[in-house]
Amino acid sequence: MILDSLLPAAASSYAADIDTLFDVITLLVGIPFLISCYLFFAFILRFKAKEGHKAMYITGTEHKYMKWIHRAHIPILTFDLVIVVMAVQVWYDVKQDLPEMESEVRVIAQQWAWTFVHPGADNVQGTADDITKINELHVSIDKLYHFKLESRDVLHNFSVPVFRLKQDAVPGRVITGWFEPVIAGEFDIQCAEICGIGHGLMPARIHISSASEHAAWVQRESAAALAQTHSPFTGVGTGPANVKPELQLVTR
Amino acid sequence: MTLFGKFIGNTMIRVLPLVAALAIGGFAIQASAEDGEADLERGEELYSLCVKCHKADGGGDSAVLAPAIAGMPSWYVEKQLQNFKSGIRGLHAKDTGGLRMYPMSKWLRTEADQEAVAAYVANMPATQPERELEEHGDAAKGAGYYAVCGACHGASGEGNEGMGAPPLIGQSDWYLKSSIEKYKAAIRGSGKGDPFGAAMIGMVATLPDDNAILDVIAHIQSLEK
Repeated sequence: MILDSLLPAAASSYAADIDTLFDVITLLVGIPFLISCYLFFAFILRFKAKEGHKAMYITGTEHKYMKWIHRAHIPILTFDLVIVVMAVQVWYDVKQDLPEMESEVRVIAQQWAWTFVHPGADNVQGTADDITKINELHVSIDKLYHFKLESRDVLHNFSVPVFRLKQDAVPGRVITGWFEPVIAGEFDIQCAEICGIGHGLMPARIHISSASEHAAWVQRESAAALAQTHSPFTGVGTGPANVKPELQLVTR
Repeated sequence: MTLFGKFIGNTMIRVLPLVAALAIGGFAIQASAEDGEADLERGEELYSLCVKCHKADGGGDSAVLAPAIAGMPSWYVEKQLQNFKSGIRGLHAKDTGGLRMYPMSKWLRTEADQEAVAAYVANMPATQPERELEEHGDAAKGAGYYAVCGACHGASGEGNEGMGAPPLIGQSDWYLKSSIEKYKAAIRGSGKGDPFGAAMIGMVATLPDDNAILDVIAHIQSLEK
């Protein structure tokens, strides 16, 4: 990969495809760019003004001149076609296709924090053992996740650079996407859409663990969530047990 | 002694007292800051960020869930800033306003900055927020409920630093309601290391329903007149 040293780790199943596309675009655009630059400066130097040499006026309409433009069009259009075909293929795989999920997380954006709702030990969303975390997303390696992305207020963008994933969060819509982590570690999540004065202070972290470590985390946290549900403090009508399916807003 | 040596000697004689005076002055300034004298100029500078939501007069804005803070005691503002910054307050999935303050509090990197902005807020003249709740309670009934609150917040709602209880007078009705509801649902006060918040969760249990909440707010608002 040409751009490996410039990019963060590739931690999702489709990150390598996107990186390959980056490389192809870099080559197909970069090489003609360098050739153009070389010709541009070479011609300036080669044909610079000389004493006693009258400049020739060229309209550029004759075939012998036009052919140099037409010939350059052929590789450019071919390269464009290659880029479009490859980009559509990657776009389809990442955004259009929705492989069968093994688990689902809810991602809720707001000014200026992320709320992640993980399924509990039952691996079902909207039940009492759901694990709600602020600015922390916990996932297992080699497990295919669907995410349901929402915004509570304005436009945000759920961006996980190591996944090469970016998805707008639009108020009033629940947007479904997917990812499958392929390497373990702790990485950044960021908002990639200007969303107000605290936009730059809206980072979160994704924790990718081995299957066994993640299962242990889910067991521990879902037990804690269940304990909280049964706490006397939460039995007042708006406690976690009553609100988890919708995660109702406290707007005031 | 050479001419150069004399020059250096004379210069040192003139400059040394100045250096000493500056050093002593510097230590004095630092000592005064350490003694708790907050820098109001620095506070004003930092407050420019808070203006976006809490407004220039500190009167707050319900549209962005920002309460009135002008004239709040510095000990309380500073404590809340610390709580937000450490995640004791605001880090709850249903605390929309708190989740806004949590990152904003991180702008204040040092204790001196927290102290400065808290002093600046405390120094602002208190505002009189307008009533915004559509429903109003019965202040006479609220006086009965308030007996419990008065033990810490004071009979006149003036607050009590020793009890960690802020003044309630001059506060927006929507914010009082929101805070009581958050305590009731343990959205606020359940953070680790917040004993006063935990106490409030118990205290608000004495308000049996929504009407009682409105009644006690009506009583608190009557204290201002």
